[in-house]
Amino acid sequence: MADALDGTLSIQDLRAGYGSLDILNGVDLAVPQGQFVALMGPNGAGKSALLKTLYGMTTIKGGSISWHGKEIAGLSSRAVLGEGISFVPQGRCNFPVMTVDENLQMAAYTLRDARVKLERDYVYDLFPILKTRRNTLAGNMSGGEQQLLEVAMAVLQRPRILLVDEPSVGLSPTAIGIVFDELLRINAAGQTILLVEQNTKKAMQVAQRAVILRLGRVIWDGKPSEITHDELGELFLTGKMRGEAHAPH
Amino acid sequence: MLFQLSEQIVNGLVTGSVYAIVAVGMTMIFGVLRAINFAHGEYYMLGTFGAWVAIEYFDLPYPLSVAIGVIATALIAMVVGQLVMRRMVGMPAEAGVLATLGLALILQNTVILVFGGGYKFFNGGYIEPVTVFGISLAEQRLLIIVICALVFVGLELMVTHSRIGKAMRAVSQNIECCAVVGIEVRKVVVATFVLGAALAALSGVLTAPVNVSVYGGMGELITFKTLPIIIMGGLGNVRGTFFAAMILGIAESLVATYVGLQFRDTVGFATLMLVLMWRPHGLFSAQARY
Repeated sequence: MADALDGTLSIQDLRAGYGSLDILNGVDLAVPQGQFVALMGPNGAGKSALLKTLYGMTTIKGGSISWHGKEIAGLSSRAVLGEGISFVPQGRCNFPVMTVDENLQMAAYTLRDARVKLERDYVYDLFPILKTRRNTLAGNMSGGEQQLLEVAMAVLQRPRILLVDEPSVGLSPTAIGIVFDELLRINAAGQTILLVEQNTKKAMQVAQRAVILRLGRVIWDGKPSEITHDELGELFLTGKMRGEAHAPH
Repeated sequence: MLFQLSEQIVNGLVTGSVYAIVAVGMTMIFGVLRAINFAHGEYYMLGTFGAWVAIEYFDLPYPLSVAIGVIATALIAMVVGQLVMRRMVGMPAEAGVLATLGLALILQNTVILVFGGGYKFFNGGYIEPVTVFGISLAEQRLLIIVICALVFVGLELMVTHSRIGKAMRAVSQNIECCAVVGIEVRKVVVATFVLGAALAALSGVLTAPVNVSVYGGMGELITFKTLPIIIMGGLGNVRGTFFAAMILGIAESLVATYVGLQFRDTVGFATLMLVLMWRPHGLFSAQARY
């Protein structure tokens, strides 16, 4: 159970959705500091909805989200950001007719002036490629570069956990490789990451832990090495493993 | 002949400047709200009335009246912004049309109710003639051109250098992303709206000495002059709006002189139709916002 783990993020019986539509039907999950967790599952399992719920973008129907001992369920996105949780949404989330530098300034919008330049320089140190592109309009960069910019925009806040939704969408295999290498690198530096990814092969390579959602519930939770690709497919389709009456929780 | 032509072009630049100052606010509001503010001309009217009241009832000098007209309009816009405009974020386009048309009626008729529907004489401004490059024009017209230039330089600096200015661009480019990085979209929308309304008021107060008459229904015509300008300029595009306003101002001035005064007010939509046949997205890209 979630509370049995030493989680800095501890989600219990979380139920949420969009308006009257229920997507999450009782999610239990705990994420300890420093871990790289991949959330996987078939379409409509509620992976993106879980990240959005953590980031205050859905309607919460019940359950709790405990973050370093504080209840954050129902806070606004801005308040959640202030609590040290950053979000990289799916699809393009940058300002296309602004330069890389201006995009980073916007990502630092909630910070006081003195910190803006400091954090921007920190991001440039972390992602030197962005420094070389600082005066380029975001919309004129390649998809991979834009995805890196979006990760950088979230990392700029020095979050205690980074929520990343499908960073591989629309990217070339090379660009996907670069984006995942960067995620691994910042995780190695101590960044906690909760990743949603359709590209299960890639996700299983990088994450230390895989969590599988189906129909708005966690149906499998373990190390990527403990499950084969075939078993994963089986779980996605049926919610059960071959030869088992019930999937382990 | 050539002299008359250059005189008409200068007149056109004055008219264009008046339109540009009103239209830039409307296009910026469109940028952040994706809605046409059909009440935009009413803030032009409110500004003019504010200054007229200051001169007529309190005998204040013109420059102070300008400030009063603009500030009073900004305060009214702040109330309207908080009560109406901020609720339009994420609403369908029809909501914006209905709300702003309704506001236009309310603002216009409130002024008519309070001050009466007749024409009023605007007694202020600088109407002494000056000669610039051999062309003689009223000082007030020169002032309009100078202030228009200052407004656009100021806006350019604001959207490229200030925090709120950049936030306005951010909201116009990707509103979902603003929520993710913690930009308070509604506050930015209200700020943009107040700025746009104040600029419309400024334009009204600057033009009043030239037009001389002030009346409750004067905003309507301005709204419908501004509409083709912001479409031609590429909705949300500040620089495009500037050039479109100048084109319309000069075209109106030439048509009034060489074709007939009665055709002047048709120029806007006629130009718009011609431009859209040639460039369906407007003269300037809507992508290159601000």
